[in-house]
Amino acid sequence: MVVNSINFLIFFLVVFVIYYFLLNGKAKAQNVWLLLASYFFYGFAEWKMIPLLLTATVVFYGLGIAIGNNSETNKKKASLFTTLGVVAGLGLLLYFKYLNFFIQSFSDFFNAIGLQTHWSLFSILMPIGISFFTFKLISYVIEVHRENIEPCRNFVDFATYIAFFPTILSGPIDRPKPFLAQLSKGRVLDYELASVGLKRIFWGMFMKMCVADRLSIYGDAVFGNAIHHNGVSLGFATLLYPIQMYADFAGYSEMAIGVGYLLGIKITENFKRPFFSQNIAEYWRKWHISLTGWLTDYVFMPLNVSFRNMEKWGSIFAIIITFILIGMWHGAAWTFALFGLYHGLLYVPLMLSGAFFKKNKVKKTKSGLPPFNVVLKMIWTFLLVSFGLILFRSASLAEAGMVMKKIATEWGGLFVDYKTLINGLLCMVIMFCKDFWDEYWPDKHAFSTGIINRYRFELTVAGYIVLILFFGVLDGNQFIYFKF
Amino acid sequence: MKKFLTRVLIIIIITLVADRAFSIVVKMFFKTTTTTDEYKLNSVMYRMNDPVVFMGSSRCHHHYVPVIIGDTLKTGVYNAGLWGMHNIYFNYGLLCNILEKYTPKTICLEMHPIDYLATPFSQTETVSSLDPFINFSAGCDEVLKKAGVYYKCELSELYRYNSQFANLLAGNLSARSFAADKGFKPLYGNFDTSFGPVVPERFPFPIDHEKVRYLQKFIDKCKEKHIQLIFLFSPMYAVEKSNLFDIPDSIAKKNNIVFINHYNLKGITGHPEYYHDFGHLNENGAKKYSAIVASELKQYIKN
Repeated sequence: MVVNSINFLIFFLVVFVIYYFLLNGKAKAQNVWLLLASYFFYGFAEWKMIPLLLTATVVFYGLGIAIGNNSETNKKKASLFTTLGVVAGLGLLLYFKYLNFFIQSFSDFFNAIGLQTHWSLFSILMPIGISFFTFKLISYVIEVHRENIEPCRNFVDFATYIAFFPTILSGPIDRPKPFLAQLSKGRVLDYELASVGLKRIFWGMFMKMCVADRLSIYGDAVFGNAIHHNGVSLGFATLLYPIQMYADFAGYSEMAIGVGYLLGIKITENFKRPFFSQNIAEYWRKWHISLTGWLTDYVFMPLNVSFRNMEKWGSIFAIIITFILIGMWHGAAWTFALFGLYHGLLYVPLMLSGAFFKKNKVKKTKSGLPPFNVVLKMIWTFLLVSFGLILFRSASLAEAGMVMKKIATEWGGLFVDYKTLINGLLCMVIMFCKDFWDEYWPDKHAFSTGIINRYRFELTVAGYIVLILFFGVLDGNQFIYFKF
Repeated sequence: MKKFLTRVLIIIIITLVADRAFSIVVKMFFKTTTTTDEYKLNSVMYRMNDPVVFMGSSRCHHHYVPVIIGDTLKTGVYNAGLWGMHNIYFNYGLLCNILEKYTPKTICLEMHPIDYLATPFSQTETVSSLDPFINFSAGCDEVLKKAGVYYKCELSELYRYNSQFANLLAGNLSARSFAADKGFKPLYGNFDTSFGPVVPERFPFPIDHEKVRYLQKFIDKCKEKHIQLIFLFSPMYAVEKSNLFDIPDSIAKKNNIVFINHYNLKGITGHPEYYHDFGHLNENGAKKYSAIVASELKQYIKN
């Protein structure tokens, strides 16, 4: 059940009506209802994995309490329980997502050095959303251990946090502290929050259905037959792919956040207009923020402390490891590992020059536009990101190599699919203009007086819907991040 | 809550008004566009009145020259084939729409494996070209429902023209006219065979009983309206012995329909100078083939 489907609309209407009309303001009842809805939603996607989700939730709920109970009296025991939690979380991920990859890689390695091995791969069904909910589980035990939060002693609340339906399949990866705090209070409909939520849902739908799904038609046609396309077409598809990815994933995040707002729950922001970044570090501060934030707190920071004796090079080492993990989080393939390494290496000059530690402010000219040198930096960053995504998009290193080689050497006419490109590019421009407006003129409104101003919100949302009806791919693809 | 629901209601009202208003404008552009597909659908639906009509997918669209065939048959001929993998679902809907306007004497249906095999491509999505013609005929609505777009099109008039922006823009900015071609669109250039031997196109797919059911519905509709139906298969560049035609053969026999199968046509098959690609004749090939097929059709089509 995808968020932008009729099925979801019906499901959500039922959830919404009962949530506010029958259970309005009753925290416990609302949480039970959210939990039931979340398990129904997850079961609708993959009912066979419900026992796994439930078992993992029960185990981590118990671990949280055990850590909390021992944090004052027996620190060693608390640490042991935390380690157990982290190992169990990582174990889940390793088993379901990476076991076959490691078996295959070891087998390939031994064969390459002349040792014949006969390893069998396991037939493992990867639970949908596992990368997202295991990170929430791990984050929870660490936060309890660090005493940043009290262990949750209400199983319903905890299980709702883990399985919350807008975010379980594709994030954002919420942290326990702000999320659980919101569940402790009963929710009544917040007019402003719900309105913003509604707007974000339709904007997310526009991003997904009009930009991502439209551009994916071109991208799939070119990358799907990469061997038959020349470097110009592949290069063009390579430049479109980050925009497709952004529209797809940020579109989903917008919808998830919007649904959360409608239920009175604020979800972590996941994107902050990443293509207006002046360097790769800024880009990652704005792209998939909930994942990079998670890895910064639980991987980079501890590694950085461990390697502090190596000074700057320790930080570089830590960042490269972190990025390889970010890459591998996306999937069990060497292309993802290399994608992570590539981004890690892009940090090296920034760390050596000190630019990494600087936070770039939004620079504007008097007319409110970005200066020319800033625009050039943004374009350069975009090109670096696009190039890296060749690895991300390719099924194998050989395919990535072939695409890169073709881009560098095989020139010719551009493959053009007018219908897709005109519709897709037009919507892309609309998306870019909105992002640009939000980035550079956040307080400016096109119509600040009159009836249009009075109904600006309603007109905006209706405008999104009309655009979706005219330009959207209403029977489009799954979200890219569902497979992670 | 009341305030929020009022806001939602206002959004719905604005959306409905905007949907209707924009769709009027878009419909106007749709009717005046010269882009091949849209122009052709409009012509078939509103302007075509010829006694002999050719229907099918792109191989029909590019292979049958109405002027040549019409001269031989001494009657009006129109090529209603449409570019792309338009299969029997689409053609059944189109036939039902045509019959709402007039009844042709003869329909020549260019067969393709997509009309009776469970191909992974060309399923019900091909009927989306008929979205703008919702409520034109019961048969058209039936296939739109089958494709799952009927209620979307009922709800939103703008959705009927979804993804058409590029075509409407290009088609209203250019001054092309296809009126003289009577639906035929030639392809230019010769098939490049320099890269090696061309393998025959294969269709290793099982029979699609639902498509076959619609093929039978197509036949029954023609019988009901006393329309003479002829099955055709135009030549391919590369061929092989296969049982590809067992299904249309048996359907044709069962329904007493003439099936002119030119899958392997001496003088055209294997001649790259008559082909644009492995499955489509170029302009010269289409002219040559049309002359051949016209003389054969003369035996069956009586004025």
